[in-house]
Amino acid sequence: MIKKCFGNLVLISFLHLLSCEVRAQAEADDSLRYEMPKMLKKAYKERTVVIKEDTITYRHRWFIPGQYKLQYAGSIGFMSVGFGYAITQTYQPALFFGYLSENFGGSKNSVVSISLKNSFYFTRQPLFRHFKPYGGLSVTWGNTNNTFKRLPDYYPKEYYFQNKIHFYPFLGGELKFAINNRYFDGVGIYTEFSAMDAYLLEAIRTSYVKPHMALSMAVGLTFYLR
Amino acid sequence: MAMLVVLLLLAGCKEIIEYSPYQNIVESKWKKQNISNYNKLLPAAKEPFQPFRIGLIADSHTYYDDFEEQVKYINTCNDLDFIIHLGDITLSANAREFDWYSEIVNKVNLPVLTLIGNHDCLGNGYDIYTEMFGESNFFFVYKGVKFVMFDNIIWEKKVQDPDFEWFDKALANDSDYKYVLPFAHIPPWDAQFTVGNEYLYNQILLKHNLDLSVHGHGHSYAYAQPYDDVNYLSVPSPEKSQLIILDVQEDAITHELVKY
Repeated sequence: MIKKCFGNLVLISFLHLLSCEVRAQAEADDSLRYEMPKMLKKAYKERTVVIKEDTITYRHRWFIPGQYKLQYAGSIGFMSVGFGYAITQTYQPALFFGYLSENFGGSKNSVVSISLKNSFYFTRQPLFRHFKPYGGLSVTWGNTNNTFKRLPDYYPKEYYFQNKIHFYPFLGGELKFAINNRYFDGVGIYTEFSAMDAYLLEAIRTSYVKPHMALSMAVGLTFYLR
Repeated sequence: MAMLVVLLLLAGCKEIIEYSPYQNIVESKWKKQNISNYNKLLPAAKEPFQPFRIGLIADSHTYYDDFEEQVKYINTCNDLDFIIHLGDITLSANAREFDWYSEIVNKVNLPVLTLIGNHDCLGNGYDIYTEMFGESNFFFVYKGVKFVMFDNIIWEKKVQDPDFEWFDKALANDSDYKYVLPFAHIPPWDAQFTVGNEYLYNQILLKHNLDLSVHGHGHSYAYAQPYDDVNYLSVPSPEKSQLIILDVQEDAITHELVKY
């Protein structure tokens, strides 16, 4: 357990150092900015299409995610990678793929999670220049032994509630810094607290389960594509 | 500042870190509890027969508040030797439900032996149970009485039949035991059992001349003889505010239903 805690501390310290480095870089002279790589320039080229009398301008390759995330814990795996989109300034969903196994997180059974995290930022502009608080609801598919969306036939009707998909309301905050990189112009470090529906229900229903006992913490990094 | 908060949280309460609700990561202090709890019964367990009383509980699921009440009541009883929980310690076999059960049950002043229930086999529950408590089929001897704990979960384990061969062998009175007592979460008349399994369960008890079988699953107290010769005792769940006390005497085994 000490080893695991130490591991957590090392990870956090590393993230902290990285964020300091990033800030220093971002504050450096603007004239040293890298040129945007060809690949991105091409991807961002605006295209127009004329439908009857309307001319529509759109970003070519709009489907390329603008945010790349790496997350530790948060009930969707030991580590997970996420791909996010800034649909609007406030609504920015991300799709995560998480993994947990004996050698990767220390669970005797391995779990593959896919999670759609619907994040809503509370402010259009970051607070104190860097801080972006957010909240939302994620939907997680858990794939491991004996999880099911529909009960096998031999069970009586409604014997169990499905246990494959869970909903997690969450609250979090991200510190975002500008960086000078060929591909990325920003990096964020975030922490969030989520509560699985089943745990939340017990926190509401019983006085033994206190609200904090339903919480699961995640920490992660976001890289923002230019 | 934010980093400091994160550091403190990580260092202070590791419970807040969960990799998955299906994770099978059991803290070392809660590993193989049936073995460590049986060891607490030694050396008294090895003594020859003398009358004793034990408490029976079952189906605590997520009735945490009622379960805590039950634990408080058990701790006021000073004439019990140990407790048997007849299974269904969780609702959905999520990782924290196992932890919460362990936290509450370890407040009992007596050793508790925990059977597996059908709910405990959802998700990775079966594997978590074996990490946390030990083998799901097991027997132990206490003061000349053999306690046989039978894992008879079928649907959730995706098997056709429980391990009747093991059960039959385990029930053999191979050492002049005063009594042999079978415990299993699901009673044989439940829908999980086919007609054949229901019949076989009772037949095995008859073969070994046993007249008492103890079960959970039904959430209510019952004492019945559905197949004539064998007495079937069903243990209530904690929200009934009842405790079953099994009184193992020289000439008979009786039970009491205590309301608290």
